[in-house]
Amino acid sequence: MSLTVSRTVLSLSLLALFTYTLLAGLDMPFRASMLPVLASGLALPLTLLAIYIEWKTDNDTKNQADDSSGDLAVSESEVSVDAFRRVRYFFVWFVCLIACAHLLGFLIGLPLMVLIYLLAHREPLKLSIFLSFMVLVILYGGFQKGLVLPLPEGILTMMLFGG
Amino acid sequence: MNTWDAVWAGLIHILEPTAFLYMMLGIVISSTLVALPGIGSKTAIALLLPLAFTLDKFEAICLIVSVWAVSNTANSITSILFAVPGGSGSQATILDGYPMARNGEASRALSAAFTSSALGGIFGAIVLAISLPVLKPLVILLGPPEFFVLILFGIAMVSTLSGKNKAKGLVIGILGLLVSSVGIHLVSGIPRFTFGNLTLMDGLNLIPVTIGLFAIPELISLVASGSSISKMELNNLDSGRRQGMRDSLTHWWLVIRSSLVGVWVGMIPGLGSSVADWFAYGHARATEKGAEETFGKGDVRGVIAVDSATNAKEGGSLIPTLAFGIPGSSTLALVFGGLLIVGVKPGKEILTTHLDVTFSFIWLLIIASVITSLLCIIFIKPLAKATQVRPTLLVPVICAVSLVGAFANSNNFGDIIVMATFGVFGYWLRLHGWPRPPLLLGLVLGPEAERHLWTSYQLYEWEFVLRPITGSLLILLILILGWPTLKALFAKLQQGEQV
Repeated sequence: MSLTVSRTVLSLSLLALFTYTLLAGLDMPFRASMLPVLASGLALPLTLLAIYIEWKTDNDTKNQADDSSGDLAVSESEVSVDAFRRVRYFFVWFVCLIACAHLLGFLIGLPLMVLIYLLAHREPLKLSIFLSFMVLVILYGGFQKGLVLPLPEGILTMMLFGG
Repeated sequence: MNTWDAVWAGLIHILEPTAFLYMMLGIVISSTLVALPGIGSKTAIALLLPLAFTLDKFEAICLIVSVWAVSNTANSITSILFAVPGGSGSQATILDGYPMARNGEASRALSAAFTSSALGGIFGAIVLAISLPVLKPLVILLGPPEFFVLILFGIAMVSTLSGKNKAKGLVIGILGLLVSSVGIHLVSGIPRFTFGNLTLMDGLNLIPVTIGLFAIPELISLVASGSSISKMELNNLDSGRRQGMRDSLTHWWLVIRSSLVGVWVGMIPGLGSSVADWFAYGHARATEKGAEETFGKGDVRGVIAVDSATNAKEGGSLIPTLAFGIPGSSTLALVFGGLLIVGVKPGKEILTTHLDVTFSFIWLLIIASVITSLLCIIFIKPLAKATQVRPTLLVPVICAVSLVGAFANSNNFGDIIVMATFGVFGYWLRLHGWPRPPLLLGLVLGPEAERHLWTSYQLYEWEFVLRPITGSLLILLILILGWPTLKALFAKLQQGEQV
């Protein structure tokens, strides 16, 4: 998907979202609908205005963050073909990270996925094992024991070994 | 006890060896814990409350207040180094602190942040001390309509963070308000935009949304660029440290103005201490010379403004807490609880017969801020070097810790999905130049805005906008928003006349 298409989809999604919240708000009792209706009613024309301004000043800011947008600007190296390929791989890994945390539990899933990421990026084996172990130490020692935060066990590990 | 006796006694109480030791313990615990994403000062205080129960009154005050007072200083570390906000008060630090770290100026950014933090803390404490006799009429002057318009002001401030296309900032700010309305409406019990999902019924929490909006897109950015956070050689770390301290002192007027913004926001109960940083950033961006061009790209003034305000607001937020027993924030509500445990009851008593306790608070704000900043400045070198680490080592570790940070907030796996969703959305916004900060501001201010809107409507119907202060604030708000357009229009008219 090209950046222009992606940008158009984002603008249209915002318009669709505000239209939905306005219509859904109108169906709610007055007390609950005040903020959603007021906010959506303001947001719809403002979104159209923002799209119009963007379209008008499109030539020099195309596919770039507005340099003075008060947010962190996107650099050239982040919008290259190679960069998007790396981002795609990252997304796959990130989804697996969440899935592993859910299936294997935080204490097994997260260090395991850290290890896989490091090895996939050709980091030295010893360093990869050390860092994964450090993640385990932070999770177990810092969060589970230190902060008494019960980290959830995985669905799969519970099925295999019991809760 | 007269005021000067109370000032002296307040200092003596916290300089007692055991009390001082508990203050140091509080500083170390707070600085360590708040550096972990998702673990804020609230968690730290909650963990320490059972210990406070066993201590003498001033020892407990030293422990609890120091944990709370210094949390904003250490919060800046992860914000500047990794764009991962340590807590809700350090979100705006990312905007200029992180680009500075990327430009090899991590040491300067950290040093400026810590120095401004200390100066802001001192300033906030002094304002608290001075304002004790005159605060009551000030807070009573504001009713729900004024609070509502002040919140709209907050949203309007974000439009100044949105560069040329201010409409984008407003749209995202309003989106934040809508995001805040997700969940069961507390007054009517109506589920709003929940789609029957249990996680959404509870509403969207600030921590997973913050981590998602800021940390995940920056991690993606690191992956995309394939280089370490700092793409340049780290400049001489010692000179960076000195430069950062000099920056804060050189921009003393900005420190004072931002601190005033912080105190002002802090002293309004419920407005939320987590918005002081945005207000200060917006103020600095609107008033500092050349800020429109340089802010967001690594301007040290952006860091100075935010960090002075975040620490100064603590002094401000103590004003309603001590004077009226109205905690200025949820963290202060915990501090309040801790004080009650050890027999200190905020309100009239603490300002009259126990004035020494009030001054112990003020001294603690000053001393703890200075000690924390000094400690942080000492450890700048290893911190700054972290920005040189390869992204392949940083990304998976920060991702894993962020995941737990999002979960730790409410022990709910659904928050991880919220974090991931906002991570993707934040990346999308960033890619196309839609500013992300206004969303957070809207989310933070949303519940208060709705509450004040409803109360105002109940009291005056829509005529609440015609009340003197409310009306004046609204006109000012419209002028702020419309000023650039009006200015351009006047310029065109003048040109036309000349032709």
